[in-house]
Amino acid sequence: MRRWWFVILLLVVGSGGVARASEVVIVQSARIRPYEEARQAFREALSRQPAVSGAKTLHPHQFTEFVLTDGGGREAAARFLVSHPVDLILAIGGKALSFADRFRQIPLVYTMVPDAGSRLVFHDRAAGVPFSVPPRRWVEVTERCLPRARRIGVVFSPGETGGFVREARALSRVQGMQIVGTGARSAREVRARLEELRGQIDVLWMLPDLRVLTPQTAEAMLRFSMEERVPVVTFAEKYLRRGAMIALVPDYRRMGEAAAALAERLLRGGSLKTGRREVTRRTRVRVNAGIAKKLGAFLDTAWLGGGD
Amino acid sequence: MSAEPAGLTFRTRVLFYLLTFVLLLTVALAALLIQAQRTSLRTQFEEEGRTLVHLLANSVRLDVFAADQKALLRSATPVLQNRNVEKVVVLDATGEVLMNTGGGQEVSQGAPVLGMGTTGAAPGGGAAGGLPRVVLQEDGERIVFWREVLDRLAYETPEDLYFDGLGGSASRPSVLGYVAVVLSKEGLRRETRAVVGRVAVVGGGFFLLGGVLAFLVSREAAKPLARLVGAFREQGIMVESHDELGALRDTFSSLVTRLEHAFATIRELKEGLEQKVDERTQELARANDELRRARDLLEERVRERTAQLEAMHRHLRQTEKLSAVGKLASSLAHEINNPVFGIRNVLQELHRKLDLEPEDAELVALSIEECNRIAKLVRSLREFNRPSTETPEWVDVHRSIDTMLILCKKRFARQRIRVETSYSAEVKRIFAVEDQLKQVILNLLTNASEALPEGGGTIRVSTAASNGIVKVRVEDTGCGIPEEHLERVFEPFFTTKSAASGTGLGLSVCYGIVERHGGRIQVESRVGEGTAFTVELPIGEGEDERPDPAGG
Ligand SMILES: Nc1ncnc2c1ncn2[C@@H]1O[C@H](COP(=O)(O)OP(=O)(O)O)[C@@H](O)[C@H]1O
Ligand SMILES: [Mg+2]
Repeated sequence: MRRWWFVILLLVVGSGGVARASEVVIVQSARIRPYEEARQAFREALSRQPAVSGAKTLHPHQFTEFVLTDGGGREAAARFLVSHPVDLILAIGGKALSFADRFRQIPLVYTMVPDAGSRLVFHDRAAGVPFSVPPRRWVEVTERCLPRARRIGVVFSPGETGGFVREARALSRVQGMQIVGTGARSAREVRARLEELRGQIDVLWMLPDLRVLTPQTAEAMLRFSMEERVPVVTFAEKYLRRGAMIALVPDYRRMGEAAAALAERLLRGGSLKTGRREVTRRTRVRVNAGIAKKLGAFLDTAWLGGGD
Repeated sequence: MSAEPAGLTFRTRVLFYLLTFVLLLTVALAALLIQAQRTSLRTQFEEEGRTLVHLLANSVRLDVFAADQKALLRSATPVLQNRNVEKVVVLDATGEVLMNTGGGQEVSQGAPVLGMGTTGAAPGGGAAGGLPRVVLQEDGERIVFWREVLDRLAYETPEDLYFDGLGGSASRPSVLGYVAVVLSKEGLRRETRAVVGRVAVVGGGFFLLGGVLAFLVSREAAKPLARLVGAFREQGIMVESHDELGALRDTFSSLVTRLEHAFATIRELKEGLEQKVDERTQELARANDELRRARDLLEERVRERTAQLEAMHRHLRQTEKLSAVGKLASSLAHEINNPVFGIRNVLQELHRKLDLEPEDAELVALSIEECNRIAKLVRSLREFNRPSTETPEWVDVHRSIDTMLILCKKRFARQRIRVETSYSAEVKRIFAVEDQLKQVILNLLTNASEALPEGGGTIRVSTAASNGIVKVRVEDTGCGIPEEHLERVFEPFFTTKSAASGTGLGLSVCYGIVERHGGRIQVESRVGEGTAFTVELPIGEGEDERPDPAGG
């Protein structure tokens, strides 16, 4: 099946004279602002790099968009995908990826998906933009933003984020910092672990750890931050609003643009060596200045101006 | 005013009504106010309970999740400090009591755990934005507010860690446990009592104010009445009664009766007066009439007297004139008479003695004739003013007239004049000079016949007697005398006839004769109709009529 499709693709590309607009279907999990930003950026970027057929003929791409949480959105998308010749699917969000995973004959690009590995079951030729922020970046941002912070507290489940913490610990040691990590097997233990960290740390990391992080534990961490006057570095903007000081978030526009780059390559017929291919990520640092002021933490915002 | 028992009654009545009104108003307002306040208090109370239970449910979420009893107590403390809160109960999802601050089991046993669990987890509940349901349990002493403690126990997908609003079952919260806030009704009761007390105070104040106002109003309202009553008393027309209004009513009706009497009297008086005025007016009118009549009479008399005076004056003037003319005429006649007689005698001598030619004899005879005529004229003149030489005697008036009529008979016949006589039997004889009387009658008859035309006419001679005066009247149907001549006809030599026929002495001679007899002669005439001469003569001396000397 896969080979047949490639034959077709090669034939089309090789024929050179056959001009056809690329049909791109965008499937989006929900209508939230980050997804919208990514989609917008994707469309813009892809339109700037239109499909080029052999003899440099320019063709505009044809975009069709579906939002799964819209009434009947899922069914409409499925109907469209089976009845139209589609050149590419862009999945924005985890649910969109799970949905698109079933159409394994259509090239797939995904973005804004934190757990792409567990969601890709059938599709073996999908390319996506990595969502998570690597430990190196966490250490770097913590060091730059909070120059006085030396002891970094973190509550983690060894099964989920054990590797991340290990890597971070090594990196921070290089920077002259120290990770004070306590493992927790479940969310119910988090409070007790936090109690152990009282007075021991200068900054608390809140990691995207499904085992450990629940609404209750997130709140407990934020309360701990408030009580101990320890800034929290987190991974999502929503915690920033609730009391975290620094958030290391993916740049949603960049996520869209990176997906566009992948898509463009795929449409042009670029081969993928492995089943999956990810492009370099970009992160943004968002700061809740009000919290910083309240906590009295020394915040080097000048560094932020330089971009990430 | 207040000392008068009658005055108090009206005022008291007004005051009583006003006070009753104010009291009712106060009570009604107070009842309304209290009801509204109670409702509002109760709503507030429930609102407070709901707020508290929401607050509690949110603040103990973590503690319930962690089943941390110490933390629970800490989290519940702010709620417990509310003075209405009796106690706080927290259960976990299975209904196990995590905390019961007040002790006692009755509340936690009554927890509607199962019912809430199903409703709370209903689709679209809790997390959709609205607050979870609060269940109220109420008895006499307290109200229990139950609420679930809801939260999402975990994030289902890594994406949920990052983003909110993704939708799907992941966002549905689970029931972590239950909280109950027990509010004592004591506070509500206390506040209600306080409200009632305040309203009572305000109502009392309102009533007092209303009472004072009512008092003032009643006083003001009673004032005019009191003044009226006072005025009536001063006038002494007040009928005493048990209250002012009754007294006024009685006074009024008595006044009305008196007024009716007064009006009746006035009406009667008026009618009498009108009648008197009528009578007086009639009297006045009568007097006025009499006065007018008297004035007319007076005027009439004045006119008459004036006329008499004028007539007398005229008469006097005429008399003077006539007498002067008469004297002149008689002296003239006397001077003429002798030469004329001398001339006639000479002529007669001549005629007798000389044998004259017939023509000469004729001339002489003519001259003698003329002389006779002059003599006759002169005699007439002398007659006019001659003092009566002949002695008067009793003369039969009718016979004198008849004699004169016979004398003229021939002439009247020629002239075809009809003569009518109408003699009064009372006229008999008068004491007068007969010749002169006859002369007067003859002159009047002659003038009448001369006034009548050739074709004839009527001469009427009538007599009458009254008060010793005999009237002889000679009328004709002749040409009449113009008015301007009437005054002059008695003047000597006034004539309208030709020199041959008239001398103008006839009437003046008549006038002289009648004057001498102490009578009057009057003329009435109208041109074209006729003339009437009336001679009035006194019957004469002695008045007693002597027997006819002729022997009847
Ligand atoms: N009966 C009479 N009717 C009309 N005129 C009369 C009558 N009597 C007298 N007269 C007038 O009075 C005048 C005077 O009268 P009298 O003295 O008798 O003088 P004589 O007769 O000579 O004229 C008359 O000329 C005549 O005009
Ligand atoms: Mg004469």
